[in-house]
Amino acid sequence: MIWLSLALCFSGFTALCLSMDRHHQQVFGQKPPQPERLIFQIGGWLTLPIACTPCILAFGPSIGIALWIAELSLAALSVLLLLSYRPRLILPLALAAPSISLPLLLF
Amino acid sequence: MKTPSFRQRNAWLHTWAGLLLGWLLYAVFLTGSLSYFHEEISLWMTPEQHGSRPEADAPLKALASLQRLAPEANQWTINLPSSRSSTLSVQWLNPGQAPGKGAGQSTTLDANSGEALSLRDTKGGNFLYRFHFELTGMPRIWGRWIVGIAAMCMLIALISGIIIHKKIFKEFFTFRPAKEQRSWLDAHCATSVLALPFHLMITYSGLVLLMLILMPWGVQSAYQGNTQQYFAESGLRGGGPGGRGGREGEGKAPAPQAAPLVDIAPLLAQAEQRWTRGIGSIQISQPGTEKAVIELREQRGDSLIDRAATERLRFNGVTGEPLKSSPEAEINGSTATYNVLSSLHMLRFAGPEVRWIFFFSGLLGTAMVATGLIFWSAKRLERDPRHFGHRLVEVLNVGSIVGLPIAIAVYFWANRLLPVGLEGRADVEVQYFLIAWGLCLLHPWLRRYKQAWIEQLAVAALLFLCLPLFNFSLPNSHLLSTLLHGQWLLASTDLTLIAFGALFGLAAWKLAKRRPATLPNTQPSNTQPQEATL
Amino acid sequence: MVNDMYAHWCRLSGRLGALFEQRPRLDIAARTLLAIFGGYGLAALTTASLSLALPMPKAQAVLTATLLSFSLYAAAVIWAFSAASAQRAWAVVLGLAVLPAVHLLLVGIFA
Repeated sequence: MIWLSLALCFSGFTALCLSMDRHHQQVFGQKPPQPERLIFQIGGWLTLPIACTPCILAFGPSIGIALWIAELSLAALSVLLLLSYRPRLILPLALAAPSISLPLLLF
Repeated sequence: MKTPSFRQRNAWLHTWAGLLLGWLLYAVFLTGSLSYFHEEISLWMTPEQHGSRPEADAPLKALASLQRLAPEANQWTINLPSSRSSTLSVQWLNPGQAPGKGAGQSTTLDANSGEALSLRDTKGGNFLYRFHFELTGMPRIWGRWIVGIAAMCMLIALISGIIIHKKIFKEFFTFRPAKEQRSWLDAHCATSVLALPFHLMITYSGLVLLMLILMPWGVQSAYQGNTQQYFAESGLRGGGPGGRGGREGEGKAPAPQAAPLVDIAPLLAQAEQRWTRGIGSIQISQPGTEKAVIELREQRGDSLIDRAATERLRFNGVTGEPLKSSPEAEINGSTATYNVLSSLHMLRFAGPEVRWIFFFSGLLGTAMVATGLIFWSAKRLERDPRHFGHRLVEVLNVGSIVGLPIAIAVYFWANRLLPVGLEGRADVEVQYFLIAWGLCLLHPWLRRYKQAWIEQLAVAALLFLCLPLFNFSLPNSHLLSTLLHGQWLLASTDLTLIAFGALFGLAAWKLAKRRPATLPNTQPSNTQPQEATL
Repeated sequence: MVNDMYAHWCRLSGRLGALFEQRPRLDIAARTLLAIFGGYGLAALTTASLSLALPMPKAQAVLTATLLSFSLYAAAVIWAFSAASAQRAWAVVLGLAVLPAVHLLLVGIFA
């Protein structure tokens, strides 16, 4: 559950990050066109709270929310580091991460 | 002279609030982060426990041992192995001993044989935990005051930092490596902003935990200083394990008749079925008599609001019939707030996943303090390398940012190397810690500062990497054995030591490679901020 | 009478303002003293006063007041350095401290 939540946080932050001119340029070499920017922003802002759900399901509301907030930091840090060192990996990872973490739910 | 602006004033405040006690804040954050694992560290520091690999019948073995060790006792308590411990910890109260924290006798049992273990005298992870809020080598109250003042400075630094960071959202993901001071500033901003909720929560809750020392005026005015009554009325010290069972049957004149204790196995099975987290502890009062009562407690609670509320099941000790449980104390508004804050800070009852994530957040906080100090130093030393104040900060920087980890490593080495039978061993380990730290603070005065950084980083790397190697001289403690037996508590400690050693080594190597002409890459790792640019 | 006092205050404030402009270190010293001691004093007085005044059971009032005291202290410190002038910073903090101080005096705490 934690991995799924972390993965969703990561994807959410990637979306928010790519909605910013400077970072979109870092990854894709151009500023984001308007519809894309909106999609990224909405997607990001929606995904982040959704990422809270697995935490709450696994640990109950109070610890779940605390855990989610701490996960947000880790996810944001990962995005930041990837942006600086491996920007090309960001989008594929953000898309793949939730699906990769789903099978972990079985264990 | 032009009067400074609002931002400039807060920038000044931010700098001084951070700088004056920065090295102390670094120590508090580092030892605090490690404290989330203080039980695991204590386990690592007592190799006598490493052979214990609990199986399902551990509780029964403990019972058998208690029958042998303390047949006349009024109360037995057995703490079962959990995700944080691999041995049995038993306590008992002999007739005439009153229940309470630390009352009676206790010992640790091997979970396989049920035999009492003779553990080496060490403070273990508890030393780091206590250092975190009351330092060491001074009266406790001074230590707590000093840490409290530092925490207040931290809070001010956080608030003023938020005020002066103009582009807090725009630059949220910004990090520009290999740009000298700019990179250190980016690292400082990143580690602060990305974990800002955590930092604010940790600092404020830290102050709250010390509130009766720092701000006792409420109790003074409303209770005339009678803190006992305050605790009783606010319910703050009410909950929590331990010390309640002795009330059963005490003080009643006729001694209870002897009666055999019911077979506990089916009761345990019942509890295991009901509780997904398993049984945390077993407490039996008046064992071996007709008044025996068996109380089972669940492993760790999962609400931050009830600090220690776990479900309890109580049974008649002779017949095995279930008894009614006492109702839990009512929790209201501010008590709930206090409970949440203190639970979030200390994570006393949280599982390993939560601990690891908070540990990383704590390391981010440690990195925040360190990158701030390094940034300030980098800026000033470029301007005026011979200024005494700047030199002092630089010495404190090296001596604390790398010196404290070295001292911790030396503490671990002392634990391994000092003879087990040595008198006052636990205190000697602490002395080695202090001596090592002192040397690390002296060393930079004698070296040009880049040399000091490289040398201390190299020493730290060596010390940390060799610790797991040394473990191979102990039969049950080394990585191959622990990984083979699935003893993750021990294995993860060794792996973490290796990770830190590798990070220090990487930092030393990178720093040594660079020539001063172009100031190099600063890779602020998200765990330890030891690399320096200059 | 109040007008006179206000006039006195304005003169004093003006002189202090000039002094602080000439010696910025005095300005910083004044603000720092205020932040460390004045802020703590304000927080302490307010905590003691609110513990008696809040409309809830005594223990809850003490807990609530103490939990909030750190925010008040932090706010006072930020104010001490952000206010437009050192004398204004002092005036506000002293002014805020008057109410709880009077309350405590009346209740007889200091008796």
